[in-house]
Amino acid sequence: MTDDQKREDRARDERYLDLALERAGQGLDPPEAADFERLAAEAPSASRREAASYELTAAQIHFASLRPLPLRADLRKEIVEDGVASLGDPAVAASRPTWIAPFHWLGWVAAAAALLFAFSIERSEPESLSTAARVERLASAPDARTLPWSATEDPAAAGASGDVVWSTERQAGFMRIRGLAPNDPTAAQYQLWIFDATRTEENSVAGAGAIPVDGGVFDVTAGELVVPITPKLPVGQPTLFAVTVERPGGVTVSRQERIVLAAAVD
Amino acid sequence: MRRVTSDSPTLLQRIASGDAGAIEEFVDRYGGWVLSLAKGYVHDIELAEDATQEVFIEVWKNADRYDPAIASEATFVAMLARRRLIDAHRRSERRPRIEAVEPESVGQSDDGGIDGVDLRDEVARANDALSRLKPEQRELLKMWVVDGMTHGEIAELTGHPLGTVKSHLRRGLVRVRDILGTAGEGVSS
Repeated sequence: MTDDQKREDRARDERYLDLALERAGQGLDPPEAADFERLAAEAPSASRREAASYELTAAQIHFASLRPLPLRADLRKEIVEDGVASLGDPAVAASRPTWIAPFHWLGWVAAAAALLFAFSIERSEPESLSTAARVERLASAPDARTLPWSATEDPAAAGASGDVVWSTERQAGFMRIRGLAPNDPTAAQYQLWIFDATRTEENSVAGAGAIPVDGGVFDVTAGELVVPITPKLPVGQPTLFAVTVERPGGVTVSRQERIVLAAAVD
Repeated sequence: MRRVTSDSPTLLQRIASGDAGAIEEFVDRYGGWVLSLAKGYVHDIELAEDATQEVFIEVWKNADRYDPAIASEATFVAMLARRRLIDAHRRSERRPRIEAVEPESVGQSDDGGIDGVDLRDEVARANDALSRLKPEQRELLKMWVVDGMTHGEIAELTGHPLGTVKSHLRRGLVRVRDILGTAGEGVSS
């Protein structure tokens, strides 16, 4: 290794640890986060341990400064219900994705956008009142958007409908889905992707515009399904929500062979 | 350095293995802490309650990633909660200015209101580590971690050059880490 290469390595390591320090305190904006992840992939294990220890130590310091507040009984009940519902949910196995951005996804952006206003939704009572209340509360957020699903020609999507409620400010959302074919979790699972216009080019193998953030995997049983959206990475400017069929546990690189639902942000 | 752990499974490990009975205990143990943390970021109690619910969804999703050899449950929960709360506030283009629920100096709190021997010990250890820092360094860490100030804001407030603030913070954080024996292995970004 030449002296120049050593200097470059040191500079990369310093930049990585600088970002790790920023991240531990105030977090990173999307370009910084992308830079951090790129550098992390190249960093020696000692630096990765150092970086991780910053965040853990900041969490310990912050925790020690707190005084617990009383939790309302109904909020406690909802949290416990969420926890019980999550048991056995394969979404816990969802991993952070990288993505080969396909050109034909752009076609889906346009198609879903064209269908946005032509799509009608038959509303029905969601399965859980507490979940319904949460959806409605999120939907009332100032920046919240409610976007109807467009079903594709995939057989599993025949007759499927519903919508996506999403708030960028809250970094949270819900999918409401009806009529999507139930899946056998041991054979395949549905996976949500959120295309983010603030994540472009740098991580895109195909360089084809917005890069999707993994929204997690989920299963469909009969009836209406309400699925909380908790993206693995911050979503700055969503342009499209899309559901694919993937192998159990989801994928990190989707081959987008089966797209069943899409909802474009106009 | 990896933490020494007991053989009995933690609440999160029980939850990850499908033990529904551990969920209520876990929520009772950490719910108030997460709400307190969220209240510091969003100020409004209703928003803080929503954020708390979202943080717990994140916790349920990541329960199987918890390794007691790396961090305590409290630290794991606080780390996930801070990530989510900070990200949410960055998305809303507001600097995560944190408002203390009860104004209190870091490194000087007593144990009042803390339920559970393990958590009391956790808090006491962290505060003991902070108390070993120089007062100025401790105050800088408080501004940065607890009050949510940026390096630039701290530099402006204290009159220190930005580089000095960064190096003070890093040294202080590393000192606390070394006292606490915080490991960094196995933490995913």
